[in-house]
Amino acid sequence: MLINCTLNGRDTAIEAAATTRLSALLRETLGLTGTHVACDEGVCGSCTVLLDGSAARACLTLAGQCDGVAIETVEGVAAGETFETIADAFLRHNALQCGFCTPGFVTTVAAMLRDDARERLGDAEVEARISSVACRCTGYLPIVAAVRDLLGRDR
Amino acid sequence: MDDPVPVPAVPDYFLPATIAEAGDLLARHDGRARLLAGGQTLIPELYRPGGTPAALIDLRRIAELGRIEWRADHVEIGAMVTIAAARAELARAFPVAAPCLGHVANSAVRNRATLGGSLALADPASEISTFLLAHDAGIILAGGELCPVDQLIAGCADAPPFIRAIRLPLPAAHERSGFAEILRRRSGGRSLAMALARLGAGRARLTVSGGTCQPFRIEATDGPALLDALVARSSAFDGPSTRAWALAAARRAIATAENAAC
Amino acid sequence: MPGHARPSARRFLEGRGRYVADLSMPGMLHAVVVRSTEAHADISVDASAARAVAGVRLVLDGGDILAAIQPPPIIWDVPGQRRSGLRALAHGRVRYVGEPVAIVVAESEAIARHAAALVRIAYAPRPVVASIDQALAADAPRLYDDWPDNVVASAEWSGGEPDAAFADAPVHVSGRYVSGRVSAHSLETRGVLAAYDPAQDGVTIHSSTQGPHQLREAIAWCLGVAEHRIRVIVPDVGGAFGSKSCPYGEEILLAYLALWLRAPVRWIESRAEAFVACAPGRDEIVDIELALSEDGLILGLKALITLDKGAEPYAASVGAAWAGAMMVTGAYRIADVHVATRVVVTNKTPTGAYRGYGTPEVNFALERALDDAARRIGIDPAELRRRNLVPPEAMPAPSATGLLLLDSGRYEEMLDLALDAFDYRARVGRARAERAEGRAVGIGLAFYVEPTNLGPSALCGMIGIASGGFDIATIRMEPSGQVVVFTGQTPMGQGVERVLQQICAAELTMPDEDVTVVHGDTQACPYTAYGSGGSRGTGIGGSAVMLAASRLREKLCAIGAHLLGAAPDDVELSQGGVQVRDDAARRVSIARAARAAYLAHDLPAGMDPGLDARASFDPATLAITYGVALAEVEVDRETGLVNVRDILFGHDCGRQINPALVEAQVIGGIVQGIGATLYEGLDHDAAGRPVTRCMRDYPLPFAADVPPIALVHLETPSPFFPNGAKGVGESGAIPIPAAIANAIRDALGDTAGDAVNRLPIRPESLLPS
Ligand SMILES: Cc1cc2nc3c(=O)[nH]c(=O)nc-3n(C[C@H](O)[C@H](O)[C@H](O)COP(=O)(O)OP(=O)(O)OC[C@H]3O[C@@H](n4cnc5c(N)ncnc54)[C@H](O)[C@@H]3O)c2cc1C
Ligand code: FES
Ligand code: FES
Repeated sequence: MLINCTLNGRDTAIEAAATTRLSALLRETLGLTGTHVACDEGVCGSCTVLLDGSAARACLTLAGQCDGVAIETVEGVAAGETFETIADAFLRHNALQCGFCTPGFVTTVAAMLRDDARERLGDAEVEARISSVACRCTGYLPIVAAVRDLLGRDR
Repeated sequence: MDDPVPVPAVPDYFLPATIAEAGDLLARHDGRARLLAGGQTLIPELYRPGGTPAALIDLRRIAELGRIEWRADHVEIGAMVTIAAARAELARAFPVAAPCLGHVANSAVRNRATLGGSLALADPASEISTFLLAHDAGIILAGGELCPVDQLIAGCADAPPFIRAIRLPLPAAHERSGFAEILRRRSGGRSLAMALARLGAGRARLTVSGGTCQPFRIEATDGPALLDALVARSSAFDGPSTRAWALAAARRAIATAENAAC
Repeated sequence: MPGHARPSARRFLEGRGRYVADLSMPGMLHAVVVRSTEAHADISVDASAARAVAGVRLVLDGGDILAAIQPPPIIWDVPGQRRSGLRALAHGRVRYVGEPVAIVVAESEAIARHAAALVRIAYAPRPVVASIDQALAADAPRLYDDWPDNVVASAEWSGGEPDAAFADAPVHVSGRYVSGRVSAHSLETRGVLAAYDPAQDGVTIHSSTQGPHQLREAIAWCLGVAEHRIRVIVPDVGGAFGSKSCPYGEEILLAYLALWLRAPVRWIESRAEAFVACAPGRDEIVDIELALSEDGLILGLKALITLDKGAEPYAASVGAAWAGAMMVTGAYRIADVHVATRVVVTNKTPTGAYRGYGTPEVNFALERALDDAARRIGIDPAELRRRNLVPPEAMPAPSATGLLLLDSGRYEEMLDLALDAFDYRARVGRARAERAEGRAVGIGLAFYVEPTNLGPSALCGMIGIASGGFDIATIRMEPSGQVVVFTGQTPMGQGVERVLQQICAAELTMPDEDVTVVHGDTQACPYTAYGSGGSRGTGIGGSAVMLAASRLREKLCAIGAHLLGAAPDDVELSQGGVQVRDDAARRVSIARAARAAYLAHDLPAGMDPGLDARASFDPATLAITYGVALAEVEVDRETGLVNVRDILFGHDCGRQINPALVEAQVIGGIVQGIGATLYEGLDHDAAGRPVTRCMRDYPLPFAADVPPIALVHLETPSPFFPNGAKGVGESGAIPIPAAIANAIRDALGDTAGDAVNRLPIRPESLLPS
């Protein structure tokens, strides 16, 4: 089926089987390999993208579900304006090691920053959102520190 | 050599605009089509060997299924309303909605998963089932018929009916409520047990689930009586640990309700 | 950019990491592995339906590779150990759920998956050996018909007179301590892209591995192809933690397929596969007995280490048990010791290496037993440890068995530092007060030692490792004066590339950014004898770089002196230039000296043109990192759930070349330790079938599960390494289980029972029955 969507800010038409997972579509067809797959079952969060501005698992999204939707991947976030501050905080806090989980955190945090600007997120919500992505390397403390810094919350 | 055997075709994908259209498509495929809501459970199933249906019927273009309508004594929530949206929308009228629905999966899955899809699965350890059962929800099916939520939770393992909306009676103004869930990890994951308590004037109610035991309701006059009643029913749970967790969840839910402002 | 940041970390944030699954090539084929669904059975395979699918290029089963692919080499190869003879695909019989039975190659992954589901395997079940006890039973079914039993190997070591020590000692404690089977669970699963290389009539393998040279050796051995025709490239590695250190059958198969099909072939492990096919760790029982004096001196230790290897020795073989034998005496002076090991096969996925590799298992046993001893004798557990720690003046101190040499460190100082920082006395008092009020609050600690900088080659030989322990580094200064370091070490998030860059830049007095580190390519990079494992990157890889850089520095100085008309002895390298000592006016930049080396118009007599240097480094001994973990917990009596309130971790890994990276390793290890202590376990049913097969059932810690963690450290440079650095990769994971278990025991008192001796400690086991 022909999928008309906005991909990282650009109107795009993609021909794909409707049942292709969005993660596979991005990675294999569109060459956007920043969206990582570590579980294919919604748990790890490495594949997190933004659909109409909200965090979603690309591995649990079908191409067919993207028709008419604005998709933003880590590559899109990286081209956006808040990225510098996100990157700066993550590097300052040494919040990444192998980097495999990192795109999932970047997209999740980008959505968090936008939502927080609209209406301040409570501590429980911040914790829940950071806890939606798995990292096996860092032990999370530096990631939490980077995110709290970004949100202007003390630790 | 024989001719190569082709790989089976991918399923047809439909995006109906009305419930009637979706119903027709379902009927036309005679059991070989699946309704697609958020896809959070269905998508991995598609990728299991033998999991490919003949057709997928994506419900997201059916505007009616995405509505939330507030009435004098109840609210009607479309089957395609996501858990994240329901959580936000219901928070004012249902103080336990935020903590309870906030325990479902993780924040990203909640953005996609729908109430209808979740109900159709009727997973025993589901916060959604517990929430809806606790609030005496009625399920409105595609044809308009109303069926109580307990029927759906109990009996729909094989072929769930096409769910259109959920009808939730609004709690009485003086009701106090509390929710508690026992988890291995603070961050979430599979529930060990959960309980939702509703304390009204002279009427106390508790909905509990644990392990593989579907949520069930208990009624009594007050909190302590609820706990006694739960102890009496603790054989419902699949082992001593689950029993302990269910009791702990119940105690906490009741305590939260007792301490809640009305 | 912050001082600690790795040169290329930013690209990961941009989504521009390059992992194996991100690579593709024109004409690339896709492989899917068909795996056993039975734990133990005779099999026959019918792949005809799979072969008939359009787009399928090849299906191989065990029979097809018998002649072409030899069983892989064993890395930890002790005398007399039994071999499985298993190859990359099972033939005639399967011995665990997940064992590769066939491989399907097709034009797309979807086709390959579809066809894989059509490979029919007929199983004639055999009796299953599901546990160590079953494996060792007198009438146990055997996994290998030509073995007399299910034992891979066993050994024992003695020092002093353990029997006499036990006979005389007034206090005895003993226990059985079980470390469960856990998954290293790197977020990136394994993956391989193998491509035929027509120029060499060879094969290039991109693999997510910790040991490119070791993989090349294994492929050469298994396929009978000369090493120079095999090139291993390691792109970004998305975590490994030991699980990617030994070669796997899939890597060998993919190399074979690429050679056979003369095409690129890619295989990416699914998470579901990883749970049954990527070598897990631990699964070990340690029985320990301590003899003590009435004032708490350890007089003797006896230990029996039993390792469940799963279905075959696999490349890692007995290593974890042997390493455990080496480390079981810990940081303590114990004169009379007897240690025995035995390694058995069961019908489960073969275990490999996981962060700590044998050390966490024995640390859990020893540090739990010491707590019981302290309670028995009636002294504070920290005090009991203090009385037994090896003092600095006794170092280097060999253990009674002679297996371990405690090289350097200030153990007691470390203990005091950590106790103070944790406010130990006050916490113990508060916990007691809280317990009096009915809350189950407890404090626990564990001291640890960690073997790092794995080498020396001679030691590797002695303990049965079929490789050396050295590293080689080469350094090339370009005509522009910038430097490229070539190393066999592999970055996988630990930041070794950053550390090597720093070491080289410091030695050559250049800015860090003028140094590039090339890694992960057997064609370009020098040999490493053991890859990136055993916490050896900084100590051994780094020392090799340091030595090579100092050779380069000598040559630079010689050229500089020549250009300045000075004697070589009168010049020095400083801040990017060669200058006459104490005469800043007579100075040439490195760039000028470098250009002179390549122009070669006027070089000192007899000097070779060009500017590069090479060094290999083989250490004199292991470097023993050490430290202590302290934990405060509260157990919820109603639910059995453990809330870790606080952790303090003290450690000394010698000189810290990059403190931020050290801290990152420690914290990452601690959190993995928390996972292994409280949540993670690969469970099997009575029939030996794995029941943990997806991430939802394998509860890794997420951010909300991490307690506050405070770190303190000492820096005692190792006298045996030019850069003074010891390794730190495994530290965090080692003492955390014992520290938390001891805290739970403290919180619950005697009611804790045996639950605190088995990992993971799940809430079910802490509920009153
Ligand atoms: C990582 C993860 C963690 C999870 N954790 C939890 C948890 O903690 N608690 C919990 O309760 N659940 C949990 N879930 C399950 C989650 O709640 C469900 O996946 C989700 O609610 C299903 O909704 P969906 O809209 O995605 O349904 P889909 O996946 O689209 O559909 C699910 C099923 O419902 C059917 N269906 C969909 N809509 C309708 C309809 N209107 N009428 C009839 N049938 C319909 C579909 O045909 C399908 O059979 C988790 C899921 C994931 C992926
Ligand atoms: S790959 Fe999508 S959540 Fe793990
Ligand atoms: S940095 Fe490796 S998984 Fe997070």
